[in-house]
Amino acid sequence: MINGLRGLKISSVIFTLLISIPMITIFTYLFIGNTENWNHVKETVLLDYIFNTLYIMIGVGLLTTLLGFSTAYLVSLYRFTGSKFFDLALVLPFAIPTYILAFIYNGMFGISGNVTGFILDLFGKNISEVPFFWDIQSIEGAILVMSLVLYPYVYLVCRTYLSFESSSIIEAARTFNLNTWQVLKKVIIPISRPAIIAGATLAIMEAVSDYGTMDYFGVNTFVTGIFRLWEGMGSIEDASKLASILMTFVFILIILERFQRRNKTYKSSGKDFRPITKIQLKGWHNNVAFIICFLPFFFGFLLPFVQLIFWFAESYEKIIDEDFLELFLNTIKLGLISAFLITSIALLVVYNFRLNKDKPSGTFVQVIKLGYSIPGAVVAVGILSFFGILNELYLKLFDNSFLVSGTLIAILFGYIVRFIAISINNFEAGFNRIPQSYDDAAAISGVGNVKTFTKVIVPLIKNSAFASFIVIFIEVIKELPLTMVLRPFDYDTLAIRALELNEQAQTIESAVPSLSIVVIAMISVILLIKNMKKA
Amino acid sequence: MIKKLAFGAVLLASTVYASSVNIYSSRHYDTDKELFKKFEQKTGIEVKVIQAKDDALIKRLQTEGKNSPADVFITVDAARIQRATENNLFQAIQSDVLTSRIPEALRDKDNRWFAITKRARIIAIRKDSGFENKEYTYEELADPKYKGQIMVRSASNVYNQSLMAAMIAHHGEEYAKTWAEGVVANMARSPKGSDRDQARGAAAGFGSIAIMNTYYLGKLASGNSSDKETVSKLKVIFPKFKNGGTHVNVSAAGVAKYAKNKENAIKFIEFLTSTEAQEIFAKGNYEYPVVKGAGISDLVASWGTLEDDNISISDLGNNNKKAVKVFDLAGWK
Amino acid sequence: MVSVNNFGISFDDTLILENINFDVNNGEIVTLLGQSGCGKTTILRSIAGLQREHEGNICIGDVCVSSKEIFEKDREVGYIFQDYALFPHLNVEENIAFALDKLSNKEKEKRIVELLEQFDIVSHRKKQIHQLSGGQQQRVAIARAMANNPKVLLLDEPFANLDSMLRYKTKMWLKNLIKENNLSAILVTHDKKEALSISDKIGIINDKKLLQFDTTTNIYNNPVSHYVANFLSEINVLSSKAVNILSLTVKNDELATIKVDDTHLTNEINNLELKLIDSSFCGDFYEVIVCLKDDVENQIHIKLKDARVLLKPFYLDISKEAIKVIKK
Repeated sequence: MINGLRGLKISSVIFTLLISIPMITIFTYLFIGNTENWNHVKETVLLDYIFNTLYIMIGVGLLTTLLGFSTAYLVSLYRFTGSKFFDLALVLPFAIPTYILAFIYNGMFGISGNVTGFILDLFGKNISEVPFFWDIQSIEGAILVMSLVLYPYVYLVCRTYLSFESSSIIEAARTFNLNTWQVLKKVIIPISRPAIIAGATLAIMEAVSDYGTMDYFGVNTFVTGIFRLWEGMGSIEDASKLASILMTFVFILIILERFQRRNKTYKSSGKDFRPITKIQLKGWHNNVAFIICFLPFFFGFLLPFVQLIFWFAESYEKIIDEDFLELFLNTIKLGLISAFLITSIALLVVYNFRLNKDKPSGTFVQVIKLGYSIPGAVVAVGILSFFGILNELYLKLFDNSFLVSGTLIAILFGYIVRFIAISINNFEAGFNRIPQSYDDAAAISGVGNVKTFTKVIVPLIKNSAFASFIVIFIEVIKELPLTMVLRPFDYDTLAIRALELNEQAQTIESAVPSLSIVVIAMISVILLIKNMKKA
Repeated sequence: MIKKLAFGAVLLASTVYASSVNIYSSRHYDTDKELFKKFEQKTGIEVKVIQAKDDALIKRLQTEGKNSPADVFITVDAARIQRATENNLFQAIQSDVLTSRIPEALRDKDNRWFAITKRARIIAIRKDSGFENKEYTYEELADPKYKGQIMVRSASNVYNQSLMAAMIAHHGEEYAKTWAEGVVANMARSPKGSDRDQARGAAAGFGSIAIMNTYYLGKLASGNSSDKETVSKLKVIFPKFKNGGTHVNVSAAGVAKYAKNKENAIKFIEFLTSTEAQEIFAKGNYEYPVVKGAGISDLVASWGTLEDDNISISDLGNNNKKAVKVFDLAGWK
Repeated sequence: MVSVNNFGISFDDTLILENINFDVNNGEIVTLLGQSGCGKTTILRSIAGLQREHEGNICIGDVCVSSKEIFEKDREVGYIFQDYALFPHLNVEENIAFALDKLSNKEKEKRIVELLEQFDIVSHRKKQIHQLSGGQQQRVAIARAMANNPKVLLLDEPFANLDSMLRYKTKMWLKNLIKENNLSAILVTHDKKEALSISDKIGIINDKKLLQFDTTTNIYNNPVSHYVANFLSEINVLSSKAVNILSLTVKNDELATIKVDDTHLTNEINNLELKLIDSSFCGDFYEVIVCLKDDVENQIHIKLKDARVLLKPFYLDISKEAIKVIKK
């Protein structure tokens, strides 16, 4: 029995160390001296990267807050036409990767977009004759496109909070004779602030991490800079240095977010989180609510989805061949293996904390969770750097190369670092709902640790495991920058294919891999929502 | 380790072919596939191809080191060729066939690599824009009279970098920087998208002068109806350097440093430079042959006569790092 | 004055309550009693306007609202939630002043000071909510509800989070507040002891209906059914054997009951001989369970002060006046 516990703890230590490796490697680059390349970067483009990244962070933060909070507010507290439908539908943009929405909207509204062309033809005009044409391939376009796909983060967090955790506070506000706006302004918005910021922070971190959209829209950010230094100039050291600055930014953001959240759990203290009673909307209130919810759903999911279907129909014969099927299977394989691996490791680490309950075990969990905030490109570069260093040593010792970086090991490592936080959060929430007394009861009955785990814990934690599996699966098949850097030779995924086809200006053909990703993700999202309702 | 075993097993299992040659190529065209098959039929040597992007292949070769199964490495663009050479991914060979067929400017002075196809970086100007009825030099693109007219892709693209390398080779870095600043001032919008996007933009009325490779013109001309319409609205002009010709870039092939099938590799590259193969590249893929006497497609011929610039590919490669810096300094994103 | 008329409500096609009728006069304290989940809180919420869709109508003062009518902004109702629902982002003063925006700054200040003093929370004026104890939070919640001089006060389980000492003090103080301000007060609780001691009238809710609504004394002395009787006090039900021995007339749908407090033991011989089933010492008394000989299934509960009566054969000692025959 004791051995089992120790084994659990030791493996947790090992995993924590392993997962911290990329972060530590990148972090050291903050202190390494400047190369000539680096100085050049500093003098010319660094300021650009900083300004653009900040601009994007603020833009996405504001827009996702606007879209996510307004819809969560309406859906949680009111009933109106389609409110039940929107409850789920507003989450669907989560199935579309940011860069795919960028491709679609450029293909529709860009300078040679089909909608643009259609409208111009309608008026018989040429682009140069139009007094104002807003180029979607710009930083503002990137902010808009990303916000349409990322607002579900804010939506979900606020929705949960408003529906369950704050009901009596909101009802108390309603008993005073204030109108809706006053209640919103004086109570609902202030108490939702921690939830809004938590959701917006997630969205911002995703935006900062993005490569496909930024590259395609010509926006120069840290991430595109990292790729440029790594690919173009072939310098992993310089790329790492840039990555270390980005990582610092992200950490500051995390610290700020945690700081503003201290002491402020705005929950109803009642033990039964009774869902709030919704108010029925009528007349023009009803219509406005409908429109506010319909727009994000339409532009964030419905419109792009329909366009993808049309483009798919136009091009699938050309694109679907043996190679494509291999691609498809590769992607699914990668997703399934990663989801399984990550879910298992997370379960191990969280369960260890539950059993051992000591401070170090808790610290492991916190450290591992940091990985989520680090942009995929940074993680990839960190791993590559680390393996590069290992390779040097290996070369010196054995005069041969250390063949890990081109294999599945590297990319799985990357996914673990990046996504394990999701799984851990799921398990933490799940374990919170299992009283410690269950474990104790099993222990007293003389059943060993392993049996307790398989017969008591596993059935109860099933839902969390399932949720974790699905979310990670979705994230992996959508993932782009990390996959680009670390994937095994010969191993392409749907995401990479979609990017490649777009880079070669074959947007219509890129709908084939894109739609595949979206459909797989959509099915997974629906499964996930069904599972959540059951729990 | 597993890869080695698997590879060995495959080798043992292949009873049909007596021997083989392993190609790492960043080119992904049907013409290439066709040529590989022809080579197999002609020589009985099996062709195995791993196709990936240039940078991925370079990294892979570096990582694999002595264990690499690659016999031939085919890559595109002067800078990448340069990088591969600097990283010792090629080996020098002896081949009179190759040295006699391929012009000096288009091969390595130490016979480590040889160009197999060629593309030109030209301008496509919208008809009736008023700008299309004259000759152009690359240098004049910086002239303020073209303000708001130029559509060109990002500086992070290797084709632009090689063009800039040529500008530096002709006039030095200071001049190149000023030129780049001039071009940036003339851009219709900040650089984004691919060469084809520049053409589409210019045809639609966004600016009027698109800088692009001949190859992509060909792709547009054989694309869907809106792409064909784009091409019909553009006139192709071959700019020249003031004291040179039109900028060209190449795909090149070389024998891998640790090739296990060196003889087959040399045979393979020689085959690629045969007139037959050269014409398949040219007519099937809108490229120019590197060997004298090989013909080009009618479509490509219709665009005009190509007179190569006098800067060697090696020089272009050598200037790549400077080119990247000049772009940054000039603010060409 | 609150008047609930023909009130009924369903959730998702399940009927929760029907045909609820009762009135609460000014200065009156009414408690709604019932098991958890019977719907009593729902009635409260409907009066407050938090639940708008229902059958029947609710009148506050002269104004009546039925379901689906336009939001009546001025219900003049104060509602105390079970968890107090104080706004966590505002301090005590701000919570209390929440609904006082219509007043000028001077008037607002005056009213705040008044309330702070009235509810004995002057020293907590600037504190954050989480810094207060449960009892202090409740006073703040009530002060907030009273700030705008409501006519009606609604309280959801006001004694649930308080220990017994605090409960007693709060009960008295709450009663005073309601009487002094002539409010119509409705409490909801499942604790019958508190209900009995504070209420003018009590309503018992069970199985979707308001079983009985009457003054406290009436409902205690003349419960209309066994359920009501059992809810308010401990009852012994006399078995058919006992009924026969005592020659009582009890119809099929009726029961003969007697309060446990009225059930005694004696050593004087009579025709109700008893057998001991169990007894336990409860400090102030012995809780004793007995039955008639040959009537083991029908247990009778006694609170016994002096256990010596059990040492000799003992008999049931009850007076016929204490026996109440009520509906099942």
